[in-house]
Amino acid sequence: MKNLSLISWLVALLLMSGVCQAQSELNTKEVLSTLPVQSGGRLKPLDTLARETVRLVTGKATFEKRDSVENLLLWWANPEETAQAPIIEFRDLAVKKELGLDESKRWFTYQELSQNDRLNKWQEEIHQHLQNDEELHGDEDKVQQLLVKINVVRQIMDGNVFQAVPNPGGLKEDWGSFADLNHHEILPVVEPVRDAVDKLREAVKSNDQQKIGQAAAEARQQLASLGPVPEEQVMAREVRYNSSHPFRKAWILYLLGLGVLTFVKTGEGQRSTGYWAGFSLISAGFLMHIYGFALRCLIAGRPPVTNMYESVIWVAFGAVLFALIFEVINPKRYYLIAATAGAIVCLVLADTLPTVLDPSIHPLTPVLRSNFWLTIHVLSITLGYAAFMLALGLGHIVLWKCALRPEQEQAISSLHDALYRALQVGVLLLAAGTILGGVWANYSWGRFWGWDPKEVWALIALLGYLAILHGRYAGWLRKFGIAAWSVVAFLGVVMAWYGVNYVLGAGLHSYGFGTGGGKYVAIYVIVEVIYVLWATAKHKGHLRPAESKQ
Amino acid sequence: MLLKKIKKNSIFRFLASLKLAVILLVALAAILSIATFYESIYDTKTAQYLVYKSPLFALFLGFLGVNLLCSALMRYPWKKSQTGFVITHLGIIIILIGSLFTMFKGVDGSVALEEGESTTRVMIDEPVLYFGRDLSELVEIPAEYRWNPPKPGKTEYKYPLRNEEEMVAVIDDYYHHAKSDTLYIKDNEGIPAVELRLFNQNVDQKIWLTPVLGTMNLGPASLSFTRLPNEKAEAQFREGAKEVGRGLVQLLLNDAPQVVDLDKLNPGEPFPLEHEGATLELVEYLPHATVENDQLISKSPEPHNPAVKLRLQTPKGQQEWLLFALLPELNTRVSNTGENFEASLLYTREENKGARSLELGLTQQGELLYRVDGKQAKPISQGDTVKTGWMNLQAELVTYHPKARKEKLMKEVHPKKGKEDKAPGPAIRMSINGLQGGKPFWLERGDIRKMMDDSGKELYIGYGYKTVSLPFTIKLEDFRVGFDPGTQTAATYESDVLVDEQKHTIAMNEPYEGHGYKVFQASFSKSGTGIDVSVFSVANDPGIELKYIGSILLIVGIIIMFYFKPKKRVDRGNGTPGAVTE
Repeated sequence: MKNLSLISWLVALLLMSGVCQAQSELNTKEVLSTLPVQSGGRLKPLDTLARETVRLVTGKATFEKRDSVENLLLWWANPEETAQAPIIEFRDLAVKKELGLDESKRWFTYQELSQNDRLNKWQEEIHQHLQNDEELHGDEDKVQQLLVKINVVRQIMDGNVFQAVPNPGGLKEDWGSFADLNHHEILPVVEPVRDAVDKLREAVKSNDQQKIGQAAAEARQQLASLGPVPEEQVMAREVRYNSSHPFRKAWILYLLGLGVLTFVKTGEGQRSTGYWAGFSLISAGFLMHIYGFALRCLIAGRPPVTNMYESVIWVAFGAVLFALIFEVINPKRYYLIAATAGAIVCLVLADTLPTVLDPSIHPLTPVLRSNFWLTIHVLSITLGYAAFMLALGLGHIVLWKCALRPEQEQAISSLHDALYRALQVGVLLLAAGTILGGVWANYSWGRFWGWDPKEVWALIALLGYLAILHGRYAGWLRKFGIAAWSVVAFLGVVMAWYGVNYVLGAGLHSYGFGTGGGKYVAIYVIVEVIYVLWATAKHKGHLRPAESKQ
Repeated sequence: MLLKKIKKNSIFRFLASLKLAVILLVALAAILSIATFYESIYDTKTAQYLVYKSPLFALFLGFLGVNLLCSALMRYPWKKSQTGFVITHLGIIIILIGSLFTMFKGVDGSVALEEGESTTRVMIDEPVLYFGRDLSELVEIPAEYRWNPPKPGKTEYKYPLRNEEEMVAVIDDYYHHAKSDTLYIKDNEGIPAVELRLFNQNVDQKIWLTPVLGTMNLGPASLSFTRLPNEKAEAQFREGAKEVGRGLVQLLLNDAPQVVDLDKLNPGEPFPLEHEGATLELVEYLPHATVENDQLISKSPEPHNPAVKLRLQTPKGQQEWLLFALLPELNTRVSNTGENFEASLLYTREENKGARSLELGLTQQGELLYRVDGKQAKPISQGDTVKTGWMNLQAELVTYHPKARKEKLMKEVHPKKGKEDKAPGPAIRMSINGLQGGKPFWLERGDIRKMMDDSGKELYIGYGYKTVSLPFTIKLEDFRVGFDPGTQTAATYESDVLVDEQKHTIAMNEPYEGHGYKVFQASFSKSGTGIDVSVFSVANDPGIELKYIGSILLIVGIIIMFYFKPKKRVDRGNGTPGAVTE
């Protein structure tokens, strides 16, 4: 068993090694991937732009087994071939049919789409709607997404997407694109830059690595001569963030730790070698989590809790944080099992659903910039959600035990205490966060409480948990009841967290609105309800053991 | 002793019970969640009216407060272990009391000021009716009809006017989005009126014209309807205006000005000028000058871009000029032979006066005539459709009343969801006995009308927003907008204001605070005359201190309850939180 703990450390180190790699001299790939470009209102390395663009166009992070920078440059350098390559992903069957496209295909060429008469007509209609400030309905939304992709491919081919030409006026001014370099009225100082970029294009076209290396170095140098560029270190940091996938590594470590802890036999308050192995793996995952978070903070220049993606990651972080603290005080292993299970779900969702949870780093809307109260209230509310997620995990385990192992009374008791602790932490943080939200609202809008849907749902979630605590005092709820209702009460958190922004779409917190994921959430809700009902039935003994043997 | 007695009272025990607390918590959560869906389906104001700001909801919160208070009193005298419980519940009660102050004494309104303007009143987002004999002493009556609209013949709202004997205002109709249309109805008395329909593939619009209205503009076209009072006017109208010819040349030769009518000039015939020995000759007239294949030619005989080539001959020498009426900056001296002399020429041509016009004329005999672009007039009668010649537009004479009176017609419009903001505002229909014989009239929101009652005295009637007076005067001195570099997105905006003669600058997140009020920069717009209008939100929340105190108590109480006490266990039956320890 001693070895287990050692092995887990080795696994953790192996996963982390990618992060801490010593920096050698810049190779060709690094020269290109750290090239600063302006996009989406901020300066980012070409690597980020390429990842975002390739993912947008093809729907895949890695397309045709090439890395994104390579893909993007190839598309730019060979416009004739790009136009005829099936790279634009489109999956909506009804619209494909309407457009007369091959319904069995997933990727289409720029040429066939841009010459599609029906699509062009559609584009005019959509343009008209948008000009008249009308909402798009039905298939128009899907068509609009396709049109955006086509437009992006056009911008790749003509070089407009590469806004890499610095503005002498400073980093905050508008930068020029590669397409702008070919403008006939450029200044003489820009001519060598244009030639260098042309040379890079030729080199990429020839696919000669050595040539590309030389041309890339030359182009970077020439571009940097035009105006101020961000520090190499800053760009490299973002590339490191992109390529090291800290959150993916974190959930893999959590998963390993969860596996170890699930099968370890440990009594209450004991710390066996197996326990330590699991604890170490999760701690390593947690460090990775922090590392990723720290990088993201540095890149964005703000605490990363301003959109759904970031809050999902932050909640996962909070749950593991609380579990680790509780485990240090009172080792039960259930804290960690419950927290990591939740955290893994969160992180896997964030990792695999980029269209719903957009991982791109965007600049903030002015109302959210640099405000202390705002940051504090969001952080404490989401930490409250994290505590409730921990309670949710514990609730699941309690229900499971009550349903299938009712004889393990001591374990259930211990789990119940843990669950109760988690509820307390959640209530305190959510109450404090909601009030701090009032402080922020009073500061920003001149009112403490305005019945905004986000405020109201935070309150509803809180009321749900308060009802549980009071129901417990009133003697209505016992261990099983508290567990069952804390699973149900989490639906209030889901609504406050996700539903207000994605389902209701109303109110003043509109900067967090988004679409998508409704199906997954609906399935989640149904599964939870079924699970609670099943456990209740089992618990009450309505379901005979014979019927559920498997 | 009293408390002991009360404690035995079964109603008190019910009010103080934990079970009631649980029921109230769940009920509140349910009500609130329904309200948020209402808000999503309808809008914020509907949710606020039906739930958040309704008296029933206030009553419900009050009941929750009673439950909190009773449950705290029930457990008096409190044990040390109940400290957290008492503080928490006290905190919530204080927050609720704070909300009462906000509800009854708080002000949350807005002030819109043009530069240089000042006010002492703040506008609250609650519709009211105004009545009064004096503009400075108007009585405000709440008039929110959106959710309970009056219906003609069914629901009517009656307001006896204060200080006015037997005068009663009756509201019997309401449109939430009302569009007013003016139309003319045939009558025995009144003015002639015509209704024209103008249409092409893009436009289809009807417009009323009367001699009183004068010239109406529809896009670039002008429309008019005039009475032709005598034979001379009729003859002039029938004949049409004189065509404008080639235009005029203003000539400055040796500082002596002269104007030459180009219609008097002909190619090959030098025209003698006042200046001794000088002549001007028309070489070429290009009514529609265009460059084609590097040649200046006239594309058509229509005067779209008139240009002339002129030859100026003096005893000293000869100059050739190319002049443009519409593009004088392109005027050039093409050639110069002989001795150099000073000359400057300017070519002007007035547009046709009747360009893009459709005029209707009514003769004394009652015949209706029309003319397009001021050309010769033709007769027209009801039902006729004529071509205008501009933008493929056709005009149909839909209606003609020799005598008509004006009527204002109110129509209800139903904007699509999300477009309500751009739709017109509400209007009410009102009648008052003793005013215009009790005849109903429409008031749109924002209207304040001076009317004469049947006894000949003035009465002001209006429909607008509630106002509250401020304990200070606020004057907008200057308003500034800062844009994001290279964009038209407003990044910052700020106002210099005078509050009681003291200068302050209000910007986003930098409100003015004083007299218990906070004045925030909310937005800005432009007035009809193009002056900057700065919009402030003005808030006074007398409950804020109580809310903050309550909040702090609440949080401190929770912390004490959860973390500074031994672990609690489930108690059987009516447990007392905090009293039971493991």
